Amino acid sequence: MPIHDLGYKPYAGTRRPPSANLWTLARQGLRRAIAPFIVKASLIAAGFAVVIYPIVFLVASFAKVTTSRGTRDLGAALSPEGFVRGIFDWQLWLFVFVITIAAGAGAVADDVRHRAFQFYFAKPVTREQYMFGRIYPVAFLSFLLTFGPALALIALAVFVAPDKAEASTRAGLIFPSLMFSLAISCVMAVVSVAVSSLSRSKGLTMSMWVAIFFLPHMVAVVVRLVTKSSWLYLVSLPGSLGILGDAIFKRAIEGNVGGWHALATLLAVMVGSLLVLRKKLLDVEIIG
Amino acid sequence: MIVEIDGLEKRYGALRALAGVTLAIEGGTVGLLGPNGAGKSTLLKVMLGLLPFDAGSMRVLGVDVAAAPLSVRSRVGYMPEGDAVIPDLSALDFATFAAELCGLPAAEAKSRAHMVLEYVGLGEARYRKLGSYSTGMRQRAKLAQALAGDPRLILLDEPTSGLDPQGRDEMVELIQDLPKRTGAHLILSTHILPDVEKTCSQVVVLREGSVLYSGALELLIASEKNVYEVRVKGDPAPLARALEEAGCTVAREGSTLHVRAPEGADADLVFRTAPRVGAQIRHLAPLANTLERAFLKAVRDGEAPKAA
Repeated sequence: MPIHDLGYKPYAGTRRPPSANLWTLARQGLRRAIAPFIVKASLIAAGFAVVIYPIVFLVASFAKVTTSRGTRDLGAALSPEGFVRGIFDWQLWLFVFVITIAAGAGAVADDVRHRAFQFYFAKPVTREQYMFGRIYPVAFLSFLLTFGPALALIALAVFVAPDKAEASTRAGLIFPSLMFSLAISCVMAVVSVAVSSLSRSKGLTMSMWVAIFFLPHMVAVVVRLVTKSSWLYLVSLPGSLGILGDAIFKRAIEGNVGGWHALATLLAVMVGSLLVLRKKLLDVEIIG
Repeated sequence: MIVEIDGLEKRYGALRALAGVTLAIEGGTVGLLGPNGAGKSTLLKVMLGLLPFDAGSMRVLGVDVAAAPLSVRSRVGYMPEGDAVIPDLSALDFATFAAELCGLPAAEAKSRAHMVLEYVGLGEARYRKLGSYSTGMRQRAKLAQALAGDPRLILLDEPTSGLDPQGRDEMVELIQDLPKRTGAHLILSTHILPDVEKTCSQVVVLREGSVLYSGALELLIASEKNVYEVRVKGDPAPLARALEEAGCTVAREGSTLHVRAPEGADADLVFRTAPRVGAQIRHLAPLANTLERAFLKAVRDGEAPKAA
């Protein structure tokens, strides 16, 4: 094989400190997370959602329903905060879940299977930086998919508000939307990536994530129907997030659990997931 | 000194993986040898600051590994053993990513990635995903990522394993060229001893967590005095027996005898003994040692020549 001499030059410039690798890993992680077709498709579909939700809201705002008892203005009965709150459920079940499956639930398993830790950790990279580099892309995309449509809708709701006071009230929905978007993004990203560290088989970790997301929720729904108790929603990620969302938007919470219960449960799940992920990374044999 | 180790101990429960290793490597190209379980992988892990040790001290490139492992890793390029790549990245992205992680700015990292990929012979395939690469191409991509950060020390872990003979020759050629081209020091950990003979000037032999030999390769494989390689016409057994009766130590490898003459005797003893048993000598020469033979002897006997 010919050796190609391009004049190897030693690097004489300054080096960035190892702490800068946090963002190098995050940036590279984001590029890799966006690469699968399913993620690109979800992002494009979610782009449509940014347009569709405001259109639905706009139509509903000016719609008049004529019945035998006369004509009723539908817009007057429309609750902007209920509409905004509802977006999050759609986005969580439709798009955020897909992103966590495609970019989160197989992330660490993939690196273990391809022995990529020998690459990462032989460089000046800490376990914590690696964790951030894996969690951040999923959280960032989830945040885009939840906060983006909500913000577009709030902007329109403010624009079509009947008076300044109502416009101000509607603009006030930005803060709870931001909080709820952050909550959904962090919980979904942390737990899905932690699940991805439980096995070296990507198929298995993705299946585990599907089971963790759906099964407890299905059981909670059935138990709620039979016993009228909603406590079991706390073991369901979408259930707990739903309760937390209702609390953040100050909406009536169905059943006998409160927003603080959901918050405490989700925090415990996140801390537990981070500890499991860190333990798994510490246990991996880097040079075998 | 690129590596200074003093009394290094690493235990896994009752097992002493490194048993008080004291070692100084000045530089150049160094072969790290030892049978399975000798402590080579543990030593590499400790050198990279991936594994805390129980006692002793270690400095790599003048930096205390225990105190500043990240600083060490930013100046050490590690080419891992086996299939350790990110298959959904192109070779260019892989090498660029590696250089950035070593602290190079993004533009410089990309420029160096192009340069090292050209150097290792992946210039035309640099935009292809690593998942589509053959074993040989992956080995070169791993070497490229180790070089991309402009390291001062390069650790190569079994760089030729899994390669076909041509691929192996090409990789050995690269390893021979690397120190001249980059000015970096090399530590080559391998089981393939002929590769070490071709590329290294120094060797470190480990056995059961201890250093058996550390020094010049030449000294380790120097021909032993008074040992001869003898071939005769026909069956060599009668001559072997006669030489043993005359005080020689004889080992047989096929039809060849390795004869160690007793103190004060030399090849003349073989010449004088052969006619007595009717043996016709066809070949008699001082035994040229090989690394493999010297390594096996050192590991088996637990002793090696003292380094100069």
